[in-house]
Amino acid sequence: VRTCTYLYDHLAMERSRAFSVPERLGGFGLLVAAAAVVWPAITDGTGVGLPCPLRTLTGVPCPFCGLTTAAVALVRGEAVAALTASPVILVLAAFAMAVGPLVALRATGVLPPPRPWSAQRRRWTGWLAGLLAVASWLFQLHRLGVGRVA
Amino acid sequence: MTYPPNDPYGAQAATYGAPQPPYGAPALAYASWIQRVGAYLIDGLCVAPFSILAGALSSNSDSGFSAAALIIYLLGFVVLGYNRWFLAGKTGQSWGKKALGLRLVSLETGQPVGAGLAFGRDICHLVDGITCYIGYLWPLWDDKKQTLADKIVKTVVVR
Repeated sequence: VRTCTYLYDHLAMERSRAFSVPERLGGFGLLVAAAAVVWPAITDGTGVGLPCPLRTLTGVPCPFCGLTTAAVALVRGEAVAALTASPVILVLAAFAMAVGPLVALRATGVLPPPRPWSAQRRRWTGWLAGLLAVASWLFQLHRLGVGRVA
Repeated sequence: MTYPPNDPYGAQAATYGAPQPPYGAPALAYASWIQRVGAYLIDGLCVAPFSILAGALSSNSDSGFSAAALIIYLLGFVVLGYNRWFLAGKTGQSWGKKALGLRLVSLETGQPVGAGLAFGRDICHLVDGITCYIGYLWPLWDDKKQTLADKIVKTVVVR
Protein backbone atom coordinates (compact mmCIF):
# COMPACT_ATOMS: atom_id res chain seq x y z
CA VAL A 1 0.00 0.00 0.00
CA ARG A 2 2.66 2.45 1.05
CA THR A 3 4.87 1.38 -1.83
CA CYS A 4 2.14 2.31 -4.28
CA THR A 5 1.64 5.71 -2.70
CA TYR A 6 5.38 6.34 -2.67
CA LEU A 7 5.65 5.27 -6.30
CA TYR A 8 2.96 7.72 -7.35
CA ASP A 9 4.51 10.47 -5.23
CA HIS A 10 7.88 9.82 -6.77
CA LEU A 11 6.38 9.89 -10.25
CA ALA A 12 4.53 13.08 -9.43
CA MET A 13 7.78 14.72 -8.37
CA GLU A 14 9.51 13.48 -11.47
CA ARG A 15 6.99 14.16 -14.17
CA SER A 16 4.12 16.42 -13.23
CA ARG A 17 5.97 19.24 -11.48
CA ALA A 18 6.29 21.19 -14.71
CA PHE A 19 4.00 23.87 -13.32
CA SER A 20 4.16 25.09 -9.75
CA VAL A 21 1.06 25.74 -7.66
CA PRO A 22 1.19 29.55 -8.23
CA GLU A 23 1.43 28.90 -11.97
CA ARG A 24 -1.56 26.57 -11.84
CA LEU A 25 -3.56 29.11 -9.84
CA GLY A 26 -2.55 31.77 -12.35
CA GLY A 27 -3.70 29.57 -15.22
CA PHE A 28 -6.98 29.05 -13.41
CA GLY A 29 -7.24 32.83 -12.98
CA LEU A 30 -6.82 33.32 -16.74
CA LEU A 31 -9.57 30.74 -17.34
CA VAL A 32 -11.82 32.61 -14.90
CA ALA A 33 -11.09 35.88 -16.74
CA ALA A 34 -11.98 34.27 -20.08
CA ALA A 35 -15.16 32.81 -18.58
CA ALA A 36 -16.05 36.19 -17.03
CA VAL A 37 -16.00 37.76 -20.52
CA VAL A 38 -18.64 35.36 -21.87
CA TRP A 39 -20.48 34.76 -18.57
CA PRO A 40 -22.97 37.70 -18.80
CA ALA A 41 -24.06 36.59 -22.28
CA ILE A 42 -24.84 33.11 -20.92
CA THR A 43 -26.62 34.27 -17.77
CA ASP A 44 -28.60 37.00 -19.55
CA GLY A 45 -29.77 34.58 -22.24
CA THR A 46 -30.58 31.53 -20.15
CA GLY A 47 -31.07 32.80 -16.62
CA VAL A 48 -28.68 30.18 -15.26
CA GLY A 49 -26.18 31.20 -12.62
CA LEU A 50 -23.62 29.76 -10.26
CA PRO A 51 -25.48 29.44 -6.96
CA CYS A 52 -23.67 29.40 -3.63
CA PRO A 53 -24.61 26.02 -2.12
CA LEU A 54 -24.14 27.21 1.46
CA ARG A 55 -26.24 30.33 0.97
CA THR A 56 -28.94 28.43 -0.93
CA LEU A 57 -29.24 25.80 1.81
CA THR A 58 -28.72 27.87 4.95
CA GLY A 59 -28.99 31.53 3.96
CA VAL A 60 -25.43 32.13 5.18
CA PRO A 61 -23.01 33.48 2.56
CA CYS A 62 -19.72 31.64 2.07
CA PRO A 63 -16.19 33.13 1.92
CA PHE A 64 -16.26 33.01 -1.86
CA CYS A 65 -19.63 34.66 -2.44
CA GLY A 66 -19.44 37.58 -4.86
CA LEU A 67 -16.59 36.13 -6.89
CA THR A 68 -18.55 35.75 -10.14
CA THR A 69 -19.81 39.34 -9.81
CA ALA A 70 -16.29 40.52 -9.00
CA ALA A 71 -14.72 38.62 -11.92
CA VAL A 72 -17.24 40.01 -14.42
CA ALA A 73 -16.73 43.54 -13.06
CA LEU A 74 -12.94 43.27 -13.16
CA VAL A 75 -12.73 42.13 -16.79
CA ARG A 76 -14.96 45.12 -17.63
CA GLY A 77 -12.43 47.37 -15.90
CA GLU A 78 -14.76 48.21 -13.00
CA ALA A 79 -12.20 47.70 -10.24
CA VAL A 80 -14.21 49.37 -7.47
CA ALA A 81 -17.29 47.28 -8.22
CA ALA A 82 -15.11 44.17 -8.25
CA LEU A 83 -13.51 45.00 -4.89
CA THR A 84 -16.89 45.82 -3.38
CA ALA A 85 -18.23 42.41 -4.42
CA SER A 86 -15.20 40.36 -3.29
CA PRO A 87 -11.63 41.51 -2.59
CA VAL A 88 -10.49 37.89 -3.06
CA ILE A 89 -10.66 38.52 -6.81
CA LEU A 90 -7.52 40.67 -6.41
CA VAL A 91 -5.54 37.64 -5.22
CA LEU A 92 -6.67 35.59 -8.19
CA ALA A 93 -5.97 38.52 -10.54
CA ALA A 94 -2.45 38.83 -9.10
CA PHE A 95 -1.77 35.15 -9.84
CA ALA A 96 -3.25 35.54 -13.34
CA MET A 97 -1.05 38.57 -14.04
CA ALA A 98 2.06 36.81 -12.74
CA VAL A 99 1.66 33.51 -14.57
CA GLY A 100 2.69 34.76 -18.03
CA PRO A 101 6.01 36.35 -16.97
CA LEU A 102 6.68 33.49 -14.54
CA VAL A 103 6.28 30.78 -17.20
CA ALA A 104 8.27 32.85 -19.71
CA LEU A 105 11.15 33.42 -17.27
CA ARG A 106 11.25 29.72 -16.42
CA ALA A 107 11.06 28.69 -20.09
CA THR A 108 14.00 30.95 -20.94
CA GLY A 109 16.04 29.66 -18.02
CA VAL A 110 16.20 33.03 -16.22
CA LEU A 111 14.39 31.44 -13.29
CA PRO A 112 15.20 27.89 -12.16
CA PRO A 113 12.47 25.23 -12.50
CA PRO A 114 10.03 25.08 -9.58
CA ARG A 115 10.94 22.87 -6.66
CA PRO A 116 8.48 21.29 -4.24
CA TRP A 117 8.09 23.35 -1.07
CA SER A 118 9.03 22.04 2.33
CA ALA A 119 6.25 20.64 4.51
CA GLN A 120 6.56 23.62 6.84
CA ARG A 121 6.27 26.14 4.03
CA ARG A 122 3.22 24.36 2.68
CA ARG A 123 1.66 24.33 6.13
CA TRP A 124 2.21 28.06 6.62
CA THR A 125 0.77 28.80 3.20
CA GLY A 126 -2.24 26.67 4.09
CA TRP A 127 -2.76 28.70 7.28
CA LEU A 128 -2.39 31.94 5.32
CA ALA A 129 -4.99 30.79 2.80
CA GLY A 130 -7.26 29.81 5.69
CA LEU A 131 -6.87 33.24 7.29
CA LEU A 132 -7.65 34.88 3.97
CA ALA A 133 -10.81 32.77 3.69
CA VAL A 134 -11.90 33.77 7.22
CA ALA A 135 -11.29 37.47 6.45
CA SER A 136 -13.26 37.10 3.22
CA TRP A 137 -16.06 35.35 5.07
CA LEU A 138 -16.34 38.23 7.57
CA PHE A 139 -16.43 40.64 4.62
CA GLN A 140 -19.23 38.69 2.93
CA LEU A 141 -21.20 38.31 6.17
CA HIS A 142 -21.01 42.08 6.55
CA ARG A 143 -21.90 42.69 2.89
CA LEU A 144 -24.74 40.19 2.53
CA GLY A 145 -25.75 39.44 6.12
CA VAL A 146 -27.12 36.15 7.39
CA GLY A 147 -30.31 35.19 5.67
CA ARG A 148 -30.63 38.46 3.78
CA VAL A 149 -32.18 37.93 0.38
CA ALA A 150 -29.96 38.98 -2.51
CA MET B 1 15.90 -8.86 9.06
CA THR B 2 14.33 -6.03 7.20
CA TYR B 3 14.76 -2.34 7.83
CA PRO B 4 13.00 -0.76 9.57
CA PRO B 5 12.84 -3.85 11.83
CA ASN B 6 9.19 -3.40 12.76
CA ASP B 7 8.01 -3.01 9.17
CA PRO B 8 5.13 -5.51 8.99
CA TYR B 9 5.29 -5.69 5.22
CA GLY B 10 8.95 -6.58 5.02
CA ALA B 11 11.06 -6.09 1.97
CA GLN B 12 9.05 -8.44 -0.22
CA ALA B 13 5.84 -6.46 0.06
CA ALA B 14 7.22 -3.93 -2.38
CA THR B 15 6.52 -6.22 -5.30
CA TYR B 16 2.81 -6.69 -4.56
CA GLY B 17 -0.02 -4.31 -5.27
CA ALA B 18 2.14 -1.54 -6.65
CA PRO B 19 1.18 -0.43 -10.16
CA GLN B 20 4.33 -1.41 -11.96
CA PRO B 21 4.36 0.08 -15.45
CA PRO B 22 5.54 -2.43 -18.05
CA TYR B 23 9.03 -1.98 -19.43
CA GLY B 24 9.15 0.61 -22.17
CA ALA B 25 5.79 2.05 -21.21
CA PRO B 26 5.61 5.69 -20.13
CA ALA B 27 5.51 6.08 -16.36
CA LEU B 28 2.26 7.14 -14.72
CA ALA B 29 1.70 10.54 -13.19
CA TYR B 30 -1.22 12.33 -11.62
CA ALA B 31 -3.57 13.91 -14.13
CA SER B 32 -3.61 17.70 -14.12
CA TRP B 33 -6.66 19.66 -13.07
CA ILE B 34 -7.35 20.93 -16.58
CA GLN B 35 -7.21 17.41 -18.03
CA ARG B 36 -9.69 16.27 -15.41
CA VAL B 37 -11.99 19.20 -16.21
CA GLY B 38 -11.79 18.19 -19.88
CA ALA B 39 -12.75 14.58 -19.09
CA TYR B 40 -15.60 15.77 -16.85
CA LEU B 41 -16.94 18.04 -19.61
CA ILE B 42 -16.84 15.18 -22.15
CA ASP B 43 -18.76 12.96 -19.71
CA GLY B 44 -21.24 15.81 -19.30
CA LEU B 45 -21.61 16.23 -23.05
CA CYS B 46 -22.51 12.53 -23.34
CA VAL B 47 -25.68 13.05 -21.30
CA ALA B 48 -26.43 16.63 -22.35
CA PRO B 49 -28.53 15.60 -25.40
CA PHE B 50 -30.84 13.59 -23.13
CA SER B 51 -31.30 16.51 -20.72
CA ILE B 52 -31.88 19.02 -23.53
CA LEU B 53 -34.37 16.79 -25.32
CA ALA B 54 -36.23 15.93 -22.12
CA GLY B 55 -36.27 19.60 -21.10
CA ALA B 56 -37.67 20.59 -24.49
CA LEU B 57 -40.38 17.91 -24.30
CA SER B 58 -41.36 18.97 -20.78
CA SER B 59 -41.66 22.62 -21.71
CA ASN B 60 -43.80 21.76 -24.74
CA SER B 61 -46.35 19.78 -22.75
CA ASP B 62 -49.26 21.63 -21.15
CA SER B 63 -48.80 20.22 -17.67
CA GLY B 64 -45.04 20.58 -17.69
CA PHE B 65 -44.81 16.80 -17.35
CA SER B 66 -44.38 14.36 -20.16
CA ALA B 67 -43.96 10.59 -19.99
CA ALA B 68 -41.63 10.74 -22.99
CA ALA B 69 -39.47 13.30 -21.21
CA LEU B 70 -39.31 11.09 -18.12
CA ILE B 71 -38.23 8.10 -20.21
CA ILE B 72 -35.52 10.18 -21.90
CA TYR B 73 -34.35 11.47 -18.52
CA LEU B 74 -34.12 7.88 -17.29
CA LEU B 75 -32.23 6.86 -20.44
CA GLY B 76 -29.79 9.68 -19.79
CA PHE B 77 -29.39 8.46 -16.21
CA VAL B 78 -28.66 4.93 -17.46
CA VAL B 79 -26.02 6.27 -19.86
CA LEU B 80 -24.52 8.34 -17.04
CA GLY B 81 -24.42 5.33 -14.74
CA TYR B 82 -22.92 3.06 -17.38
CA ASN B 83 -20.26 5.61 -18.25
CA ARG B 84 -19.26 7.13 -14.93
CA TRP B 85 -19.93 4.24 -12.57
CA PHE B 86 -19.77 0.94 -14.47
CA LEU B 87 -17.08 1.79 -17.04
CA ALA B 88 -15.06 4.11 -14.79
CA GLY B 89 -15.26 1.60 -11.95
CA LYS B 90 -14.47 -1.51 -13.98
CA THR B 91 -11.85 -0.16 -16.39
CA GLY B 92 -10.82 3.09 -14.68
CA GLN B 93 -11.91 5.01 -17.76
CA SER B 94 -15.17 6.77 -18.43
CA TRP B 95 -15.51 8.00 -22.03
CA GLY B 96 -14.11 11.38 -21.04
CA LYS B 97 -11.13 9.88 -19.23
CA LYS B 98 -10.49 7.48 -22.11
CA ALA B 99 -10.50 10.34 -24.62
CA LEU B 100 -7.86 12.16 -22.59
CA GLY B 101 -5.86 9.09 -21.59
CA LEU B 102 -6.69 9.29 -17.88
CA ARG B 103 -7.52 6.51 -15.43
CA LEU B 104 -9.33 6.49 -12.11
CA VAL B 105 -7.53 4.12 -9.73
CA SER B 106 -7.33 3.33 -6.06
CA LEU B 107 -4.52 5.15 -4.29
CA GLU B 108 -3.80 2.02 -2.29
CA THR B 109 -3.83 -0.67 -4.97
CA GLY B 110 -3.35 1.25 -8.22
CA GLN B 111 -6.26 -0.74 -9.68
CA PRO B 112 -9.74 0.37 -10.87
CA VAL B 113 -12.05 0.82 -7.91
CA GLY B 114 -15.21 -0.97 -9.05
CA ALA B 115 -18.64 0.41 -9.89
CA GLY B 116 -19.74 0.76 -6.25
CA LEU B 117 -16.89 3.02 -5.23
CA ALA B 118 -17.08 4.95 -8.52
CA PHE B 119 -20.72 5.63 -7.63
CA GLY B 120 -19.75 6.53 -4.07
CA ARG B 121 -17.11 8.90 -5.41
CA ASP B 122 -19.71 10.74 -7.47
CA ILE B 123 -21.94 10.99 -4.39
CA CYS B 124 -18.94 12.42 -2.52
CA HIS B 125 -18.64 15.06 -5.24
CA LEU B 126 -21.50 16.69 -3.30
CA VAL B 127 -18.83 17.59 -0.74
CA ASP B 128 -16.82 19.25 -3.49
CA GLY B 129 -19.86 21.33 -4.38
CA ILE B 130 -21.09 22.11 -0.89
CA THR B 131 -17.70 23.55 0.05
CA CYS B 132 -18.43 26.40 -2.38
CA TYR B 133 -16.81 24.39 -5.19
CA ILE B 134 -13.40 24.56 -3.48
CA GLY B 135 -13.32 20.75 -3.46
CA TYR B 136 -13.36 20.74 -7.26
CA LEU B 137 -10.38 23.15 -7.26
CA TRP B 138 -8.38 21.13 -4.72
CA PRO B 139 -6.31 19.32 -7.43
CA LEU B 140 -4.79 22.71 -8.32
CA TRP B 141 -2.64 22.69 -5.19
CA ASP B 142 -2.89 19.15 -3.84
CA ASP B 143 0.17 16.88 -3.82
CA LYS B 144 -1.78 14.01 -5.33
CA LYS B 145 -4.07 16.28 -7.34
CA GLN B 146 -7.13 14.85 -5.58
CA THR B 147 -10.53 16.43 -5.15
CA LEU B 148 -12.08 16.13 -1.69
CA ALA B 149 -14.20 13.28 -3.08
CA ASP B 150 -11.00 11.52 -4.14
CA LYS B 151 -9.63 11.94 -0.63
CA ILE B 152 -12.77 10.48 0.96
CA VAL B 153 -12.80 7.35 -1.20
CA LYS B 154 -8.97 7.19 -1.54
CA THR B 155 -8.75 7.43 -5.32
CA VAL B 156 -6.42 9.23 -7.70
CA VAL B 157 -6.67 10.05 -11.39
CA VAL B 158 -3.50 9.18 -13.30
CA ARG B 159 -2.40 9.56 -16.88
